[in-house]
Amino acid sequence: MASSSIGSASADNSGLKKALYEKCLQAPANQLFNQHDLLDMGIIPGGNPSTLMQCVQALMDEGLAKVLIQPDGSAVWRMVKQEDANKYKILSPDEALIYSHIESCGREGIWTKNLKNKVNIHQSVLNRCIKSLESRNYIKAIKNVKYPTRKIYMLASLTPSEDITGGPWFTDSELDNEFISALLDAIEQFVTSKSFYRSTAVAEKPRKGKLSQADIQEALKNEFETPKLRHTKARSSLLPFPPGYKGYPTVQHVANWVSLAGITDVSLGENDIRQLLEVLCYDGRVEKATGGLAYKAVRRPAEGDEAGSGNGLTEAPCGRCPVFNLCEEGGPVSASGCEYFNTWLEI
Amino acid sequence: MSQHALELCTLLVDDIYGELSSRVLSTLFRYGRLTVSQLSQKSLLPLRQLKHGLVVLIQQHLALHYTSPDDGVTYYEADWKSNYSLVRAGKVMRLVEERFGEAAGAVITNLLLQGHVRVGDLADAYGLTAAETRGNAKGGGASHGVNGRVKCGDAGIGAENQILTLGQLHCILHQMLHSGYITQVTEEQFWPLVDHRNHVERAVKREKFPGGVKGPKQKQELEEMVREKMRKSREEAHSKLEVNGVSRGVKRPAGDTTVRRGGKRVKLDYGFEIGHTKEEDNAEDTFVNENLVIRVNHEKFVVAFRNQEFVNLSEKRIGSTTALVYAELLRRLEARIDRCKDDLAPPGMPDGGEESPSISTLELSATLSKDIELINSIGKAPPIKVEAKVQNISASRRKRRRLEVGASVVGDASSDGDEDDAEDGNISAVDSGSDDHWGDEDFGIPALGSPLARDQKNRMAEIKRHLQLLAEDSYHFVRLVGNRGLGEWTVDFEALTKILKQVELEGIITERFDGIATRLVRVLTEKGKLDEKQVSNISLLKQKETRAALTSLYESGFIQLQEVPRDANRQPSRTIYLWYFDMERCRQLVLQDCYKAMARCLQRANTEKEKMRPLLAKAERTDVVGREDHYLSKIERTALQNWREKEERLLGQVARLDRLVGIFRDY
Repeated sequence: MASSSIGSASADNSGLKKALYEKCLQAPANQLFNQHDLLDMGIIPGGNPSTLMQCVQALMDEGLAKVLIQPDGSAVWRMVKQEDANKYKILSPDEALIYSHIESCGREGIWTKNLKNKVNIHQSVLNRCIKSLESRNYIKAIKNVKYPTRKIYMLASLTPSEDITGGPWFTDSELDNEFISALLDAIEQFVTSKSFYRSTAVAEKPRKGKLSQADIQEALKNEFETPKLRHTKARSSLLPFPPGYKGYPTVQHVANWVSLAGITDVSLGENDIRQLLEVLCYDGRVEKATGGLAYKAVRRPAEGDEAGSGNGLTEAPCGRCPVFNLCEEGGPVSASGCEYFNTWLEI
Repeated sequence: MSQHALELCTLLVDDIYGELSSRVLSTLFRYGRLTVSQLSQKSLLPLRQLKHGLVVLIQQHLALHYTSPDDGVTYYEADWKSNYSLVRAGKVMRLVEERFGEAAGAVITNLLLQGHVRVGDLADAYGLTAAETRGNAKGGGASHGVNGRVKCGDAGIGAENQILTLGQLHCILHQMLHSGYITQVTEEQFWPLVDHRNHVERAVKREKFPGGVKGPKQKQELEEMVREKMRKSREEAHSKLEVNGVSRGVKRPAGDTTVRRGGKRVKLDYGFEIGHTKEEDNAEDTFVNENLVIRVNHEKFVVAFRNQEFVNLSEKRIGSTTALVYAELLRRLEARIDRCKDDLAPPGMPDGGEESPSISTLELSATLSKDIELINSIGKAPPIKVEAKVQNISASRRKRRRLEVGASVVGDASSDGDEDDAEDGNISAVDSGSDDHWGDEDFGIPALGSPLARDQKNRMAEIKRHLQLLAEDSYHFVRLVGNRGLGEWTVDFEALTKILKQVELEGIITERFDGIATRLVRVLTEKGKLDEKQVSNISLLKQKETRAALTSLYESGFIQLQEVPRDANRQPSRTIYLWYFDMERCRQLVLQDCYKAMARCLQRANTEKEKMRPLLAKAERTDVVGREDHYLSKIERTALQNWREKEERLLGQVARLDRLVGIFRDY
């Protein structure tokens, strides 16, 4: 009697369990369910908590559900996809344990040392497990830009988070200088094109408010079709906009432009663009305008202008002399016998 | 005062006033305060010779002296700052020539050569014993090579700009006295600052604190009073001049006034305050007191040089027309600024403790309007008409139109080349003198409706827009302080000077290192003290690159390192290292480098000259001078030419370095 009731109950439950599992999978991935959520689905007859418990327990045994404890002590569940659950089945218990820990770290990955502390398994066992997991292509080793020497593992199917890769500026966990400087140059050129009045292209220039898409497209076209020409022609006649001008590009404009111009495949957020603009500020190429909201290019003296190149100190040989500290009349180096002066005066 | 500065000063004096003076000076530099007998001992010079050297130094204000009232002993001390001013002689002359004409340039040259001089004597030199002055000027001029304008004095007197009448001379002197470029000599100016202070302090103690100074409060009071009194005595020199020095009433001979020249000068001298226009008109009729002893006021020139720097900076950043407006603004303000840095200012209140002077758009336009008109008149489109029509158009369209107007205006100006050229053009245009009604339309707007009024209104708006542009720039060239007269503007000199220093320092860093170093320095300037990692994060550079750049900057002293130990053991591994940029330290560093580089340039010039000595001796022979082609071979002539070029190059470099010294020390 008892056994049959249990048997029928388990048979019922297996139907319920499946129904419950299916229902939960329909929800967005990684959603967490608490007891009430599961009961409210109306699958458990009569909302009987003990039936629910049995179903959930069965799901957990099969590795299809995971229990998580909320900070307030209540339990919530997360459903696991069938194929993920299958992975556990073929793993040894140690491997499964390690795999679960690596999985729980998601896109951040986990350092082997931390992993060892958590699972409390001997190093050699750990190494073997990791090796087998890696060979099965379940997990992969990644590099963290912050700690390049650490061995960090994460699930093979995931892409590392930006914290690990260092964001868009890193290629193969190395800061990509060429990429950054090319972007800087492009952005500077864009900002410059918006910062000065040019008598040639007056009417078309959008002046006020936000740029519409069409404006941007047009600007882009202008920018790319004749960049050299505009550059040389405009240098001499960069005129300031009148005071109170509000048309200087903001971070948003620049970000829009960068994404539309197709300079790069890397997706850059506004924050990344802001960082680039800051660097341009530090380079003295652009500066903040309109109360820090927008950016404008710094006017550079026309090419060949003497004011742009150096000053009195650095032009004289002394300003760049490597032995300037030793230089003294009667000393090992002196002005009267100075080689640098010789070449400088011969020019 | 530093080793290199002293080396430089000694070289300068050696170059200009000869070995004797420089030997006395270097002894004074080395030993500080000395009595005559001590000085003779230390310098190993016989007393008679020593006095010859010393008198030159005193005449030129290069050495100061004070006779103590207690023991009646006179102490001598070198004044290295006035020694340094010798470098600026060329610049001073050029500035005066630009502002007051070539005749004035000649006068200031004479003043520079003489140190100080009685007005009567100066007049005598010009009028009665012209030959003697010429001799002096020439004698001084030959050794005056440093400023690169060897024949200035001689040419000035001999050429067409010869001062014809006493009236003209007095007119020039009056103008320069009024604008503060030359000043009255007072007894205190010969005293070392410390002695002056002690002198005043003694007097104050005698009068106010007969029972002695007790407690910190009284001490502070005394301090205050001394400072106040010293300020007063300094100002008195100037104000006395206004009352007594310039006596009115002696008319210059009728018919002799070259009207054009007179008119030009009045107009050029924008430095006068508005209220003084009446007086100014009479300027030509004023005679300066014959017994007044005058000298060049270097402090005032420094103010003018500083203004020039600011104008150049604004031209670089905004544009040449705006720079012209700014130049005018600064020139107007200059009249109310006596010096760049005031040692006697009450603590906590820079700029002489007074409110920094301001000027309204209206006032500015009174003297500037001609400039703008000049520039507009070059353009072919009648922009003024465009501007006038625009007033009825909606705001956004007006902006566009203004842009176009601005374009033609500014474009014309920039085609004029650099700012000096434009100014010259301006002067000549004013000089052509079609504007007899100058004085009438100076202030206030004429009745509305007349074309003149409209023009002026437009011009005013134009000026105001330029000023707004200056104010809006991130350097904040001007600041709006009130709304009087279409906006009242002032200049925050201290902040601007700081920017100027920063810009120059960054320039030097870029030249010496590379762009990365400049980026890092700017990051450090803005963020303060930063860890190496943070620096490379912010600057988007590899840590390796950052480290290399930071280290080389650190080695040459441009940035500093702060250690913050995490525990009491101060282990290197448990220590945080923070980089930071200290402008003041950098400034000192670069300043010393400048002095040293200047000294080296001068030394090198001497070496080059030494190499040429035999040939120079030949070229300077009286029978050769003027007939070089005949007596000198071709090789000799090219050698001479080469040497001249080299010398010019070296001395030019000294002048360029002096610009940096100005920026890092004086402004």
